[in-house]
Amino acid sequence: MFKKIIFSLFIIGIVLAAGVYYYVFVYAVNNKRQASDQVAIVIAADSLTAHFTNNESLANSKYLNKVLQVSGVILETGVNQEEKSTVTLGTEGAFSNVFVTFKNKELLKKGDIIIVKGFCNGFLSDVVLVDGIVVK
Amino acid sequence: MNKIIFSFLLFITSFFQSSAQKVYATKTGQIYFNATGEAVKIEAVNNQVDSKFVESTGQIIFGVLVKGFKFENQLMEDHFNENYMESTKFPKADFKGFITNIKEVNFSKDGQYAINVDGTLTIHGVGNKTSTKGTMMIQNGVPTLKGEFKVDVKSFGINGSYIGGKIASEAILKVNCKY
Repeated sequence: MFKKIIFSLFIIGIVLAAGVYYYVFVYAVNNKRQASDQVAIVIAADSLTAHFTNNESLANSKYLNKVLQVSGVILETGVNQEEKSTVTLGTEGAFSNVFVTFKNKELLKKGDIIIVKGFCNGFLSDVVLVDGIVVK
Repeated sequence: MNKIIFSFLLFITSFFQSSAQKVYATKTGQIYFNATGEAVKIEAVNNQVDSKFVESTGQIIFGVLVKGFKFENQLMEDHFNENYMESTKFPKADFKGFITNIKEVNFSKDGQYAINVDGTLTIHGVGNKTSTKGTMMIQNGVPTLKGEFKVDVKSFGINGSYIGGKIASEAILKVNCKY
């Protein structure tokens, strides 16, 4: 009887340890948060920039780490050092705009109006969105 | 007569162009973070480094958003942000300083130049004076800066039970910025 209890506890221990290992080292690697899975806050590029330039800490509390769906005119396209596409959305000549880095390479054109979804990381010289995907 | 005026104007414009302060800038610089301690790999990369430097004075600035550090493991990324960097409270980190030997870099000649950097690194709301060595590579007039900062995690007020064990007490920040 005693042996059986020890044996069962041992099995339960192994299963638990395997479960924890799976969750921490396998599940958490294969299930990264995706902008496409989450409900986004919808906002225009210019008003997002205005929120950050007017009151950065308030804007941070509203948008930091949230998924945003931003619409705007493409002012500039580029690729970063990892060959992922980037765009700047907003108004030509404005001091700050919205800078988006996409998950993948995207074919985008200056002057087009697009809607993108991405995670808001905060504000440097522009509002920064990462892991972006093109909605429209 | 027209030719003389034209040459004169050309001379004036070239003079102003050469004396204007040239600023190199990027919004897509990279910083690699490594705090691998005992066994588990703790690495992340940030691809949205905002950096500028002035050619004549060597004044340089790097700015990053802490939430932009991407780990392979989502749980690790969440711990990094919530328990260590407290990135909601301190969303930015930056370095402000000077490339002290900028005069040794010849921006019109391709090559690799050793540089010394001096300044203040601010992480987790705490600023510490620091200096490091790096290289400036010039390729077709485009500079790429590479350097490494060794960061004593606790001197930036970052505390956590795993520091010194699973997490290295000295993290490494590798900078790679193409301007």
